[in-house]
Amino acid sequence: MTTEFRAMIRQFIEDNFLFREEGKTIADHESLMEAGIMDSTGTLELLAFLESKFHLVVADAEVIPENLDSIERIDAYVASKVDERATV
Amino acid sequence: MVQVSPLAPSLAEVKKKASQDETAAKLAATKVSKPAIAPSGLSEVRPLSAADLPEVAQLFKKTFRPGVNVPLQDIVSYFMEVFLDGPDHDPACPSLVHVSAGREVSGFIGAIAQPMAFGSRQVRAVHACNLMVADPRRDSMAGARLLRSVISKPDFCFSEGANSISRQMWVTIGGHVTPTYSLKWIRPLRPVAAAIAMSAERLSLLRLLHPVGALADSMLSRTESPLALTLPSPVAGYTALEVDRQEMVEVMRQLAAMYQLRPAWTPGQLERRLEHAEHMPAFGDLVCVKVMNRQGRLVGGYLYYTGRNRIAIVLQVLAQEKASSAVFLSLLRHAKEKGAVSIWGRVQPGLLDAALQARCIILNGGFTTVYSKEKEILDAVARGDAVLAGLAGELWSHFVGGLIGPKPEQRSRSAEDH
Repeated sequence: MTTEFRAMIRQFIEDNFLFREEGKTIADHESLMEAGIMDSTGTLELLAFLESKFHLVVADAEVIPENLDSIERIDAYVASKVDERATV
Repeated sequence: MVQVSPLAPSLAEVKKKASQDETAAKLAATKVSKPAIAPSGLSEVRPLSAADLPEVAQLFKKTFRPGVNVPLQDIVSYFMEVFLDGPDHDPACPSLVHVSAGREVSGFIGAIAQPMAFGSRQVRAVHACNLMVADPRRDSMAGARLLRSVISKPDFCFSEGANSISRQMWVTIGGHVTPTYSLKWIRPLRPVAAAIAMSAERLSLLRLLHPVGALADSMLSRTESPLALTLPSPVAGYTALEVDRQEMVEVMRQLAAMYQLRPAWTPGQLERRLEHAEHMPAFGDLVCVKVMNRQGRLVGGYLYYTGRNRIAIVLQVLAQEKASSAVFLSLLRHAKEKGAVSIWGRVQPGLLDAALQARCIILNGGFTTVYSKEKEILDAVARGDAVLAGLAGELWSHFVGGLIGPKPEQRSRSAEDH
């Protein structure tokens, strides 16, 4: 499921990670780790982006590939956090 | 004549077994809170437990001691002693492991408790160290999770000697690099011998040139050439006295009290660190000196290792502001008299001017990084009003200068077997 957040997430990934790999693109479902474009520093940059852009608090237990390892997964994660916030 | 039965174990063997038995007993008796089982298939970050130590030791050996013949049990024992059992362990700010989805320990970050005082109040502080990940490519989130978790608990978290990658990670999570604390100074004392000694670290055969170096330096010192790097005369009115470990504890406590953000070692903690520091196979013997003024008052102190290849390494030097040049010069002269050909240490900001006056070379010594939500604490660090290295850092520990091979009694035993 694509949400309104996906475009912003993709933009961030492309601006911050893909610029290092000229001409490279990444599909929504593709693993960022396996593609070798997100390391520990990149993870921290992504978290800083999600927390500031979407006003989230990312708990440590949520910093897992299941939530953050592809544009699609990040999108779903952000959507669930925003939904969770809206229902509180 | 007392004859020892050939079947009786040697004293070294008995001590070794006792140490192993003690460690095994500690491991068995330690309240190993059964690691919380994460939902199946998910990785997690949790506090280090004794049961993790064998895997953590393997990871340490692979990451920081590749090719070094250090027994794993020695690493396990040392990690147990520092991170789980004793004054350097704060259960509220524990060391952490990253456990992969396959339930293997795939990462670690050490948290050495370094209680501090800021003005009149206590600060829960931690020195983060030994960040390691088994497979950074496969577990690219592990390092991030470990660092994020370790900084989240104390009031103040810091690290020294970070490389560029770690530095960037700290900055990305909102930490700061402290440029002056990231510097190191080097002062050749006998320039030709120093050059030979430093080259001999790469090619040991060059040690044969030591007598040549000594002769060249002796001739050079009789000239007025700036190449001789002659030390200035000692500053009048100050006396340097070698002291034992016990007295050095009190000297360090008094001198550290000058700083706004200062170590507040718990009872026994500083004594224990000095004990570790005294048995540092990579660094040589530890020398402890206090410096007094004419009135017999303590104005400074320093600890340094005599070093391998006579390159001395400073563990700590602290001084009152007015006596900083005198104390720093005393350190250089003392080390030279002990036979050092060169000496180096991390910069303590208040002594940077003294180091420059003494014509030290100043270099990047690895980044010192800090994290706190309290601006006042960060401001104190920024203006150099803090003690972050030496006995407050990790240079006293065997993570830096030890765990480099079998212990002497193990080597002797091995030699006897042959």
